[in-house]
Amino acid sequence: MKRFKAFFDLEKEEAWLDKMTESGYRLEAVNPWLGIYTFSKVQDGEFCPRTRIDFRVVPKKDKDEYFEMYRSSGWEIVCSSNNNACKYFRQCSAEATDDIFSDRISAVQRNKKVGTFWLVLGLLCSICAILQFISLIDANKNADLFFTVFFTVGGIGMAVLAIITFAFGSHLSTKNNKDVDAVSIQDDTTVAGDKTIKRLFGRKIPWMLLFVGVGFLFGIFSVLVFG
Amino acid sequence: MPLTETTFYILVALLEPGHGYYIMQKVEELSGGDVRVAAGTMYGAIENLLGLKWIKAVPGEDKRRKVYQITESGKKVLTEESVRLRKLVDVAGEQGL
Repeated sequence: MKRFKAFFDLEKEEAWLDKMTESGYRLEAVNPWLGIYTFSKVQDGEFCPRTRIDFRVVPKKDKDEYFEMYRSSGWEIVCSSNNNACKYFRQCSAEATDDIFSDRISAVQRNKKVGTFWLVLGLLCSICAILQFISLIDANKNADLFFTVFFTVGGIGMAVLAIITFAFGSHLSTKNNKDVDAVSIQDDTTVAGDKTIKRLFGRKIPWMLLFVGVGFLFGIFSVLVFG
Repeated sequence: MPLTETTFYILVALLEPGHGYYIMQKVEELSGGDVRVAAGTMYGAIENLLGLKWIKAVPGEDKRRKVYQITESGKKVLTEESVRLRKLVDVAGEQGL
């Protein structure tokens, strides 16, 4: 059975995958780029494995060790997801650990990495869109108007999408941050640099304003200088 | 600086050199089954501890199972933390807990 679904939040995606597990569907393959999930029905009474997602860029030299660590603790990589930063792991047997994270801090760390990814993507797309917009204003330099408009609109679209995803991701939810605040009393070391991240990500409105503000100033500046 | 339970157990386990899965088994054994470190947490913890230079990789043949060991600064942190924890237990003991 194939399902198409778009998720921008790993926790919601895992919750949906849990529902599929409960209904007896085992994840056979996944295409993380297109959001295509392939399931097979498990027979009644048979073990139906859970799926968990790690978000991590693993250097090539460390890949063997990384997958081996999962495999030996009862989790196998779901095919075709091993080259993506989103890595889908499936329980091999009922003896496997319940989750791929055994404390709240490491789980929240993953969500924050996803948040950073969307933020960086949003910034890059904004910069591209602004640069395209500048060349749009400076029509003399511009040979192909269609492409410039196309890339400007595309860039703005991507930037908006990335920023919206960043703003509504579970890395910002108060529930998660509260948990981490409670845990971080006993821990400052495993989450090296986490405090800075929390300071940046804990307040979403100022960030959004900064985003829009910088973009706006950049726009005015470019019009004044190049226009 | 207080350590999490997971970090503390991993450092104790690495007083003897071992690979990732060895650490996971050792922690479960040391804690009498209370603490089961999951793979994602384990991998992230090794990364963090290597960054802090509290553990180091021991050169070896098998790329799939890299062996780690606690460093001198790791031992120092672990000793300091043990002193702190012992003091806490003593304080609680004096209050009849």
